[in-house]
Amino acid sequence: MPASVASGDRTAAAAETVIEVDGLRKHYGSEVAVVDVHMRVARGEIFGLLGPNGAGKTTTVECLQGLRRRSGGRVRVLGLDPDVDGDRLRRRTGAQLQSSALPDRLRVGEALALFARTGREKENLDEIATRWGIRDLWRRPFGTLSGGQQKRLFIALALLNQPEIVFLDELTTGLDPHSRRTTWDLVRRIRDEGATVVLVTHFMEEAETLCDRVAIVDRGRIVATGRPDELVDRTNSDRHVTFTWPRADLRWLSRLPGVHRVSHDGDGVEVTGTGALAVRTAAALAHRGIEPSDFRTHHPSLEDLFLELTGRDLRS
Amino acid sequence: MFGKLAWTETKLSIREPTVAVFALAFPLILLYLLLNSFGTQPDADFSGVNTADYYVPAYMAGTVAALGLIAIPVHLAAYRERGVLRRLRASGISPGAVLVAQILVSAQIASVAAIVMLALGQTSYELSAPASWMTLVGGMVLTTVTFCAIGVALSSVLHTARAAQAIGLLLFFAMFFISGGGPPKEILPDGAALIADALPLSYAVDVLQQAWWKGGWHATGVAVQIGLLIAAAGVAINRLRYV
Repeated sequence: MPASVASGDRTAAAAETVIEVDGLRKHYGSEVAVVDVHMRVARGEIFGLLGPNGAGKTTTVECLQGLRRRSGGRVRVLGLDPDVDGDRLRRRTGAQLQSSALPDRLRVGEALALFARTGREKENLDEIATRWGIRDLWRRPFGTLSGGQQKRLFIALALLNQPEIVFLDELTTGLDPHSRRTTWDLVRRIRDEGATVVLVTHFMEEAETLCDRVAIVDRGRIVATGRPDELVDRTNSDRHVTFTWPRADLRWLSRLPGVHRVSHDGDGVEVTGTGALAVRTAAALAHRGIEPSDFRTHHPSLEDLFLELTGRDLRS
Repeated sequence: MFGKLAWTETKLSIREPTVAVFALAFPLILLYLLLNSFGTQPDADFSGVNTADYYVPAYMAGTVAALGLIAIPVHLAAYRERGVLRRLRASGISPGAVLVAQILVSAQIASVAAIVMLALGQTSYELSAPASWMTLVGGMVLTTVTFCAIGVALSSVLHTARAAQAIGLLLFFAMFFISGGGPPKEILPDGAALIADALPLSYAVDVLQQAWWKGGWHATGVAVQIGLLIAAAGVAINRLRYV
């Protein structure tokens, strides 16, 4: 995956840590939302917090921004303690918050003008509005925007001050698949222009395709952290290759390294194993002139890892 | 920066005027009815002044109470409920600035109401000029700040706009009719007079009526309002630090 190779280089070159969290705790009365979170985020990466609803992801990022006062633990964001220097910190960060809104009658242009505080930010207004495709919505009231348009406005607002860190909480929830993919491209662009992105999501696919590193959050704790491909490698689940090839005995495939099992089901063949199973199988088949057109690989995903680590389904 | 926020809030209040219209129109319509029902002669039941001199300052205070007890809590509770305050705060606009902007909007509406009442009274109902403009304006400012602070405190303990509206209306009507918007104090039954003494609006009415009739500060009225202001601000600051 070229994207993760590039990001690996990036984090190696600039390993400056911009977010340090040790033993973060947050409770509301007797209800404990965050039990014990440890994490490090390096400058310039897209760092994902992946977990089911209610895992404590939102509370964690709100504590990182000083929007909620933590109950315990140590947090430094850009070297600042959010509970002490919240205002100073928020001048250098941007945020798209979950379940937040603007007044229904506030127009897009007014919102941008209201949030642009410095002269430089005001000069950027037009360019940012154009770039995020909301220039044409300038006079539209917030209440009349579609879900996707609202998200784009929120991203534009989050980026007005050219933040060093951008927090995006459930950015694509409620968007259709097409808007979701478009939004992912926009998030990559934020990162490519130098900002660090902390992305909160409960979509496994979003974390896998978009994040340089992912922390899996469950019940107020981080249960695993790493590059998506590393995390997937940690699963015990097998990889599967399936294809259709009539009237052939392909049991010899089980002699390939990493192959555990070859099973036939009518004309269908399923090869099960670990590691570089797919490439080896494909190469061996091609070598013998067997070229099925429906060759498919089935990888374990972060969902499988989540299931293994917590015993529960990510979607539950 | 703050100016822009206040201007934006003003524009929004004009675009979404229902609550402001209620706060403006309800006291004005009632005042108009009362002024037409009673004569323009001074009357012992009205502290020895005429109907207009009695009711205009009381209704100015009443308008401020409607803004403070209904408009402010509904607006702020809705902002909190929908995450507007958090949204603003994440971008460096503090909830405090939003509150102050909202109080300025209320002050503008209260000023419009006061001017309309003054004009109505003086052109048609023999309303006398206030004995001290300074004390009257000062009293209006104090009343506005106090009732807005009470409204902010209310919004900080009520979590939804619907709750804020229900509680706000209840408090407003209870205060309004006992504290000077209904029968004058002189003819209130003893029990109601006791309740009147416990209601914040009575003290606001005292301050404005005294400013109008005699020109001096109503010491008790001022002291009680300042006490309420401090208490309400304390509650609000304590509860709204994290939204």
